[in-house]
Amino acid sequence: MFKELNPLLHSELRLAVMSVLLSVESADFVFLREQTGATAGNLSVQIDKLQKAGYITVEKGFKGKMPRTTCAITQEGVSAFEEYVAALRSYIGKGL
Amino acid sequence: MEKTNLTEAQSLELITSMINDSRARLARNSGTPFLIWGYTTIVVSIINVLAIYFGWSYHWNWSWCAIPIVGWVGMLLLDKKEPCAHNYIDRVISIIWCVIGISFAWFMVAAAIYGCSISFLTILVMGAGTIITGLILKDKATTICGVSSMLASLIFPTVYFITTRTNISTDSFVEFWRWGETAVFAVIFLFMMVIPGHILNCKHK
Repeated sequence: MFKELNPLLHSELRLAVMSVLLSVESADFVFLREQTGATAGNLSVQIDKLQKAGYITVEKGFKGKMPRTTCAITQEGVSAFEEYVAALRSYIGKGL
Repeated sequence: MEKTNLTEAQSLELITSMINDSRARLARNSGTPFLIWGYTTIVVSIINVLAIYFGWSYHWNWSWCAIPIVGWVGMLLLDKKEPCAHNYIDRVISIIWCVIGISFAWFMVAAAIYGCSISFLTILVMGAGTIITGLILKDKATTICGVSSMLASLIFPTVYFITTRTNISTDSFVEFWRWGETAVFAVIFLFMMVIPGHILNCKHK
């Protein structure tokens, strides 16, 4: 029996954001936009979805006079990501 | 990046590439703080060598205070230029250098109050910082430069011992060491900070 893939993570941009945040402790919006190559609008929507699911935290602050949005992955996000990767492996393993 | 119908293999590939790209991006410019502090210290040291050699006013001693000012301004500009992301390694290295910076501030206070030379302690502590940074970043060249600097720091107490406790030093050597101490300090800084900084930046370009 295949494990079901988490639909929230099985989206290219959301998966990219989660992967970036997994490799850093925190990252600002500009870093995420540059790493994923997404548009600001689309990225903002996907970040909002991940935040509502409790997978990431979003903090609004300032860097000098410029507003800055900083994101970080939560423990819940790490667990969901690990489950997602395990499910992917089960698909690939059984497909071989 | 709008796709949602990723295959399993594509998902794994995306995860791997994003993690690797993020790590590579964070490593980029990791040598720049070394260059900012290293070049600033060398320039100020050269100014002081010239001041001592040519007998300029002792007020030039205050130029040492330019190091923390220029250093911090440089670090702020670097932070402003780069999009911000931090990992555990960044945080550990920042904490180590903050503690070293505080130690250095104490050395400067001691030097100002007691008029003692802090070259030995400065190189020893900064060399330790370079070694720790090299070990954390797993960069052999940085670690070797740090070890060499720590060993080279022994020049200062050795010369102090020779000039104060033995009869083998000559007047001309004592005269040379008045400005030579700062010149040696600058050369060690070149090996301790500038060379590792360039190596790290080239490696992660």
